[in-house]
Parts: sequence; C-alpha cells; structure tokens
Amino acid sequence: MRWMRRKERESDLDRELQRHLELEAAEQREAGVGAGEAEWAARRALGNTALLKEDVRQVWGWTAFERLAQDIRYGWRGLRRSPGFTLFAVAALALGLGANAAIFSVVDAVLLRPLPFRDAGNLVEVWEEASHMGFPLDTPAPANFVDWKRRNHVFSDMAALTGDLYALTGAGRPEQVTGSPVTANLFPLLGVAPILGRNFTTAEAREGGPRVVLIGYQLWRDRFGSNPDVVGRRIWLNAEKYEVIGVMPRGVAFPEETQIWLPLALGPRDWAARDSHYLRVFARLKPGVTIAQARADMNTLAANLARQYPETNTNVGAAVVSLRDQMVGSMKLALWVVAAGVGCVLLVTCANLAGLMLARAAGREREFAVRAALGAGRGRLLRQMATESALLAAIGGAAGVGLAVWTVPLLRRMVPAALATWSQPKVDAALAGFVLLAAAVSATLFGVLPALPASGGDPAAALQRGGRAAIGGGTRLRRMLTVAEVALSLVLVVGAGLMARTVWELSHVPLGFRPDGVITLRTALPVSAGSRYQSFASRSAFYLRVLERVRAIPGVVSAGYTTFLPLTNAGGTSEFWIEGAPPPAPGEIRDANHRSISADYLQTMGVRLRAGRFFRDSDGPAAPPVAIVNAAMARRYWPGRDPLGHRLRLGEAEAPWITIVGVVDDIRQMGLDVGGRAEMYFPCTQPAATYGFFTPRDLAVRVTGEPARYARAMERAVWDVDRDQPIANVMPMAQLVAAKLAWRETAMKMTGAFALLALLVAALGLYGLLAYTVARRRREIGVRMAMGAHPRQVLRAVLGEGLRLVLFGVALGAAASWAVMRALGNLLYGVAPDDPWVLAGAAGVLIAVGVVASYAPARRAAAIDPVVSLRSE
Amino acid sequence: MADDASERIQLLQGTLDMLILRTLLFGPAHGHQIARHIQRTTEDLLQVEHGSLYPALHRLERRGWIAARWEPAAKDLKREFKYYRLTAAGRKQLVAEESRWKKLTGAVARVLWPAEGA
Repeated sequence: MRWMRRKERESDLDRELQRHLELEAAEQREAGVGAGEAEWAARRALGNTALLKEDVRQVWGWTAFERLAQDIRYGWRGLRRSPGFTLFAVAALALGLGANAAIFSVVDAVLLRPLPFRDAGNLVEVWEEASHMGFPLDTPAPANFVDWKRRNHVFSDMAALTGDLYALTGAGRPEQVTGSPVTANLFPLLGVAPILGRNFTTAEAREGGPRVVLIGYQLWRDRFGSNPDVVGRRIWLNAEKYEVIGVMPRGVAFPEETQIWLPLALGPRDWAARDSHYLRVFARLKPGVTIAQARADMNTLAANLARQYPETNTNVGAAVVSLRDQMVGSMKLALWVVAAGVGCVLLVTCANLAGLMLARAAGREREFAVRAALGAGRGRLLRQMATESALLAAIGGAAGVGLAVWTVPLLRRMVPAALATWSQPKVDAALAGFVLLAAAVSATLFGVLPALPASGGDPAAALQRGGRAAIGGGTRLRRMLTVAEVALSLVLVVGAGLMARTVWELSHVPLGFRPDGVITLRTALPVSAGSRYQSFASRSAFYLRVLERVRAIPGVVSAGYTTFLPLTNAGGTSEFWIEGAPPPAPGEIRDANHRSISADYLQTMGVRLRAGRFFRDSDGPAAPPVAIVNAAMARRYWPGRDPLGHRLRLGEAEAPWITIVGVVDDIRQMGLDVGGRAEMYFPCTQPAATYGFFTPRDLAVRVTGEPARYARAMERAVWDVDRDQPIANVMPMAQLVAAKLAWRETAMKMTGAFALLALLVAALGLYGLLAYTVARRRREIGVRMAMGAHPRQVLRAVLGEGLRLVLFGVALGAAASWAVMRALGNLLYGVAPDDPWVLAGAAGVLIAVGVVASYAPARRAAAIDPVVSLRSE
Repeated sequence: MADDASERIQLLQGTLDMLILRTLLFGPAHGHQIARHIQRTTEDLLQVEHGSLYPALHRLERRGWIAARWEPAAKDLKREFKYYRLTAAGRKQLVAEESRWKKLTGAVARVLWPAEGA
C-alpha cells in the first residue's frame, strides 16, 4: 500500500467506504427501513465522511507537503478574490520590509560585519581623559603611554601611533596622503600582516632609523596599479626617499583613512615627555578581561600617575573605548535610532494588516463556518489563514528586497569614513536572511494572532447568523490595534520632529563666519629634512607667493591661510601663560585653540572685529609679536577688563611675550555643536607662535560668484609656486559646513520619511476601521435615523469615535515618547528630548490626520438612507 | 437506534485496535464485517463508531499489524471488498495487548472489589 499514489489511495478509500455504505444500507433494508431512508441511515451511521477521510489521510501521514501545496493554492485563491486588500497588504509590506532591509544593510555594514582585524572585539583605543579642559578623550603623552604599557594588568599589548599628512610626489600628480608613524608592534597587535612584503622590525622604529614605509591597499591599487614589484621600490614622501617594504590588505586603513605607515621614530627625550599629548594608543585586552575591568585598572593607574607627577598629570584620567565604538562614533546611536524608527513602521504596518485580516476574517465567518461544517478541522482553518499571511509576507518580502536593491546604494554616506573602505551596505545573504526573518515575524503578528479567535467559533451559530448583525468580537481587537498604530506613529513623528528641530538649530547656529562665497583647499607643507620648507622663511615665502597669485585671479576678493579651517579640527590647542597673572593651580591648565593665520584670513572668513585691529602686513618677523583673541577668551581671562595691550606667551621662561592687539567674535571652530571655547590667533608671518603642528595648511578664498568655479584656477596658482605641492580638499566652505550636518540630516530625513509612512498607514487603519464599523452598523444607524436621529448627530458620533481612538493613541504615544526620547541623547542639539512644542505639534498632526481619516466614513454614515438600509438585510 | 445510545459504552482509547486484531484472529474480514462482529459478540453493548473504524484500520495497516487485499466476497462474486487479515506482527501485538488488558482489568477489579480480589 505504501507505494500507492495519492489518487489511487483516495479512490481506494472511496471504494472501501462505498462498499460499507452499500452493506449498511442493505442491512437497514433487511431490518425493514424504507429504500430511500436506508441509504440516509447508513450515511448517518458512518458520520461525516469528509472528516473521516481527513482522519484517514492523517493516518497516512505523508500529506504534509501536499497539504501545504493545497493550502498555498487555497491561499492564493483567497487572496485573488480580494485584490484590493492583497495589493494594499503587499505594497505596505514591501515598503515596511524594504525600509527595514535598507536600514539593516547599514547596521550590518557598520555594527555587525567583522572588522578586518583578528578578534576585533578585544581591541580598544586608550585615551587620556582631560574633561577639565574640555577633552574627555585626549591624545596621550608619550611618557604616559610608556607607563601604561609597563604597569597595566589588563592588556596583552599596547601600541602607539601618530598621524600626519605626507606629500607623495614623483611620477604623476603630487598627492596628499594621510600617514601614520606607528610602533612596530601595532600590526601584530591588530592581527593583520602585509599581503606583500613584511612588517617593520623593532629596530627600525627608532630615532634616525631607516626610511621604510608600508602602503595601503587603496594607494597600491590607485597609484601603483596593484603592481607587486612595488615592494623594494623607493618613493618620494615629503621630499625624502622611502623604501616600500610591504602592502597592507584591503580594508586596513588604520586609523581612519591612513594609507601609509612609517616606523614611529621617537627619541628618548620624546618618550620622556609628559606634557605634550599627541599619541593615539591602541591595545588588546587579555583574554577574559572586560572593558569595564580595563577601565577600572587604567583609572587606578592614572590616579597613581597623577600622584607621582602632579604638575602634569593632575586631573588626567584614562578612557578605554572599544575599537568598534571608536570607529563608528556617534553614528552608532543615530543608526539604532533610525533602526528603531523603521522597526516601528513595520509594527504599525503589521498592526494595520492584523486589523484588515480581522475584518476579512469577520467577513469570511460564513465561509469558514461552511468549511468547518464540511469537515475542515480547526487547525486546518488556522493553517489556511496562516498560509495566506505567509503568502502576503513572502510576496511583500520579495518586493522589499527589490526595493532594497534600489535604496541600499543611497545609504553609503551613512558609513563612517573609518569603515568605508572595508564595508559598505549591500544586498547579500545576510540581508535576505534578515528579510525572511522579519517577514516571518510580521506574518505571525498580522496573520496568526488575529486568526485564533476567528477559527474557534461554532459553525452552526455562524451559519445561522449568516454574517449579519454580528459586530464581530474582532472589532475590539481592531480598536486596540488602531490605538497602537496611532501611538507608534506619534512616537515616530515626535522623533522626526526632534531631529528636524536639531538640524534647524544647527543650520542656524551663529557660525561667527560667513561660509558663502568662500572656496577652500589644503596645502600641507612637508617639514622633513629633505623638504624645501624646513625654514620658517621658506614657508612664509610660500604662503605669500600663493596668496599673491590667488589674489591675482579675476573675481577673487581676498584670501588667507590658517592652521585649520573652522570645523576641520576638534583639537589644535596650546597652553599659555598670562603676564602678571598668578600661576595656575596644579592641574588647572590655561589652554586655548591656537590658529596661525595670514593677515587677511579673518576678513576673508567674515569674522567680525570687536575691538582693536586685525593683523597687518607690517606684523612681520622683526616686528613685536602680536595676537588676536576671541570674545570668549577675553571674557574668561580678563573679565570686565580690556584685554588689548595685555601680553601672553606660549611657553614658560624662554618664550617671547605676545601682545594682544585685537578681539574678534567667537566662531564655531571645533564643531557645529561646540561653542564658546577660548581662542587665539597669531600672524603666520611671526615665528613666535607659528611652528610645527600650527604651521598654516588651509587656504580660504572669498570670491564673487560661484566658488566651485575657481577650483582649477586656484590649483594652478599653487602649482605655479611649487609644482610638487599636493593639493587636497578643494571645496566651497559652505559644502564643508553642510557636510558637518550630513549624518544628522540623513537621520532626520529617514525618521521623517518613516514618520510619514507610519502616519499614512495609521490613517488608513483608522479609516478602514471606521468604514467597516459604519458598514456593519448600517442597520442600527438606519434604525436610529428612522427614530429621528439627525444626520449631523450621526456624523458627530462617528467622528467622535475616530477622535476618541486617536486621542487615546496620542496619550499612549506621548507617554512612550517621553520615556523613549531621552535615548536620543547627544543626537539632539538645541532642543530638549521632552520639548513640549514638538510633542504638541506631533499630537496636532495626528489629531488632524485622525479627523481627515474619520471624515469620509462619518459622511457615509450620515448619508445612510434609513429606508434603504432597513430593507437591505 | 439512537434512543439507546446512552446505554452503550464508549470505547477506551486503544481498545478498538485490540478488538479489531482479535476479530481478525478468526480470519480475514472487511470493515463492515468487523464492525458487525464486534457489535454482535458484545450483544450490542459496544457500539463501534463507523467513523473511527476506518482510520483505525488504516492505522493498524500502516503499523504492519494487519494487511489488506481486494477480494470478491464469498456470497457475492461480482463485488470486491477490501479484506483485512492479521499479520505475524499483528498476532504478537494481540498477545501483548491481551496480557496488558488482563493486567488492567485485574487492577481495576482489585480497586473496585478489594475483598474478592484478596
């Protein structure tokens, strides 16, 4: 029997039962029952044949797959019968799942995919903690690194590096590359090895060591055409020859966008320095050590160092940050917020579809009753509804993946630069798996749960009711679902509102300078031994000649050099001493942003002078050293007094005194959301404050007309002065400012889009519910109107019902927002997470949407003709 | 027929299987015969629900305790019936079931009439 096919088995069973009925009928006749009656009696004795066959099939037990195929067929047929519902459900699911897939691709790329290092979860960056100076994460001093490395108990190894810009010259266009002098143990610590050549040796990483360099994969590919012969070749970096000893693997651009690595060549004096902070320190946790334990150990160590070296280390702590968090930065929070938002959209969609499924189930009560009476088991009916939901989710999921294919490439800018060369959002197996999971969860939420009450009813009662009058048990559940939709939508709208306020605040922050009409570029002068810019005079000459040529370009209004343009460096500060002021208490450091600028820079940027004067060409190397301070510095160090004429210096005994000649407005120097820090400017024509790190590198040029048009002319001007000088970051200042807003803007647009989507779906949900209720209560409304109810009363009653649901949802959502929004933390700027205006605005939007969604069903209810409605049933 | 339904005893789970096997010990039979046989030998006390008979037959067949073949009836050569017969495995199963049943009834009896049992 086992080998028999399904059809044979079925006919076999049919024949067997047929024989039974024949025999039974014959016996009944023998017992004296009438001919026609006997057959009926036989049938009654056998019971429900459909159910019996179903039981036998269950015994056969091999039909699971076939039943699935049958379910899918039935499901498909069921969906085809209501194309409107099907289309809406598929579209809503495609949007919901597609949006989730797109955001997942970014979460995957940024937070989930493994980093290109061995056991990256154990890698950390260690900072000095100098919050008292406004630097919660400060670059460690070399001597502190040495002590940390020797005295900690939590790291298996610690490595240090610095960063600089290098001029890569030789064949082709001069190029500025980011480079890192590193200790020899960095790459072994990270667990990466060169794909070609070798790593540095410890012997190479010393003062006066050999000039060797490792190059990054990207540089190798773009500049050297992936030629393996590059190992052993000599390249020009900062006008000195370096031997390439190896190529690092793809994705290793560490830290941030570094493309070349050199041995860190610090001498014994450098390693002993505890007062200049410029290293970045990376470490690997010993197996089993947590970050919290590492923090505790490092805090103890830092406290010991503070006792040991009170002049330099008082208030200097240590901070340990996981490498992933370091690379991802504030993007992590933004991503989770966006992910939570898009998850909410899917939830709203599911709630909505669950409501529609309930309505459908109520409408199909009769169909189900008939099928139950014909012998379909309760489980079978449940399964059929589940199959329909699964079908919808499958189609919606497939369409969602299609949407993701289209949207994922647009999300590249959400990947932080430090990760961009390694991982990009993409549509892959992980994404498909995620969509599958999300679709399954959705199908369960909107399909199976509401199906539970629908399948349990008593078929006889449902048949008798005939789908009439029963305001199904599902309606209460639907009401609750609608309230949930409204609540979730409110949370999304509040989130989007807060992000919009933040972006508005940040884009209207008083910058203190005028970015429009300014084009900028960077020319970092190499200061190596072989460079022609070793002397102060040669650097000054370069700036003056470039400025002269740039000013000669038609349309240029003014031009100026600076150490760093606003918003491009969150550091670059110097300690200073004020003439006649008492020495600072131990651990209190007088520290201000330090920028070395050419005479016209502040005017070019449009910074307003408050007192005194700007720099002049006459502030030359031989003239008395001068400085300009900002209003915040004047207020803080000369409260209630005029700082003009006072003197400060940037070192203790031997440094020259510098006279303050001007006070300017505060500008947003370190970031759009960082204001009010003390700042000092020095003329780049005077060596007193123009050295090393503070050597000018950024050029700002105010022009008439579109700034971007001047890019080529400016490059020509620079290369006229030095054709080996790399030029980088040519862009309008306005673009630079806009880029600082970029990820917050992206987060705002996304939460906005999600909020809109949720609103739309919730509105449809409310509309659907009311329309359904009105349709089912036609008769009741008809009776009321026949008894004298005015259409306006009916209208008001339906509107009132819609509004009641909305208000309930708004109240729930407001409470949820209040609890949830503080998680937005430092994503927000200039607006509190519980801002009453944003909340009120969002509530207003939802109420308005609620009224609009309720209006049409209310109108329809008011237009019911009592006579027609009473007759129709 | 429906009037005295309340007097009849509902079959215990699994008991029907044993009764079918026991019935087939006398020789092959088709479904209707089996039902009738059980009913008659218990003097109509046990009513076999025809609706549960066939799933039980297919279940036993699937376990290999009985086998089926379409054969013409002895009285009526024109019509074929599906005759079930006991297999060797079925015979063993019946023995096991019978001894289990004896134990069960004995145990129940000892609880209901303890004096007699002792």
